Amino acid sequence: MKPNDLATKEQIAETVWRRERAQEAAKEDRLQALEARVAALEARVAALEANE
Amino acid sequence: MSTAQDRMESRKIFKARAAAAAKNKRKGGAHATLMKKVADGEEPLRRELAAVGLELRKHRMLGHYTVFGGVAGPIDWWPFGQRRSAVVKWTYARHADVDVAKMIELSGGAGGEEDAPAQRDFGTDEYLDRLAAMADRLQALEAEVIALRARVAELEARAG
Repeated sequence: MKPNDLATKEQIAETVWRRERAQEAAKEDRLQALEARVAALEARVAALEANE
Repeated sequence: MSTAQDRMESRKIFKARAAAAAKNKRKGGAHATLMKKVADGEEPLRRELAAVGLELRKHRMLGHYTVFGGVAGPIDWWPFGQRRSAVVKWTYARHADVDVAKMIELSGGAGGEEDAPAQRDFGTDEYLDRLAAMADRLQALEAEVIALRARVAELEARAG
C-alpha cells in the first residue's frame, strides 16, 4: 500500500459520511414537505365537510 | 556501513516476515479472524484490537501498511485508536459487516477530539435510532397523504 492511501481512505470515509448526511437532509426536507401537504389536505377536507 | 553479514541477516528477516504474512493470508488473515471475533462478541477484544493496531503501525513504518485482507469495501485498514474519527470507525464497521455501535464502543468511543461536533454522534445508537424514527415518520406521513387525498376526492365527488 502506498503511503498516500491512508489519506485516500480518510477521504473515502469522509465522502461516505457526507453522502449519508446529504441523504439524511433530503429525508428531512421530504418530511417537512409531507407535513405541509398533510396540513393542506386536512384543511381541504375540513372545508369540504363544512360545506356538506 | 552494512556488512555482508548484516545484509544476509536482513534478507533472513525479510523472508521470515514474508513467510509469516503468506501463512496468515492462507488462514484468511488475522484481520478477518479479528472481525469474526468482533461479530461473534468474543472477549477480551480490547487487547486484540490494540495488538492489531500495533501490528498495523509496525507494518506502516516498514512500508507495508496493510497486510490484513479479507474485508469487503474500501476501508480495509484500521488502527483501532481513539484518534480515528467516528466517520472512519462507522464506515469501517459497516463495510466489515460488524455491529457499528459495538465497534465504536470497543475502539474507544464515537470519535476523537478532532471530530467535528456534527460527526460525534455519527454511527451511534442515537444516530441510528434517529434515522429509523425519521423513516417511520416518513412512511406514516405518506400513508396519511394517500388517505387524505382519497377523502378529498370522495367529498368533492359528493359535492358534485
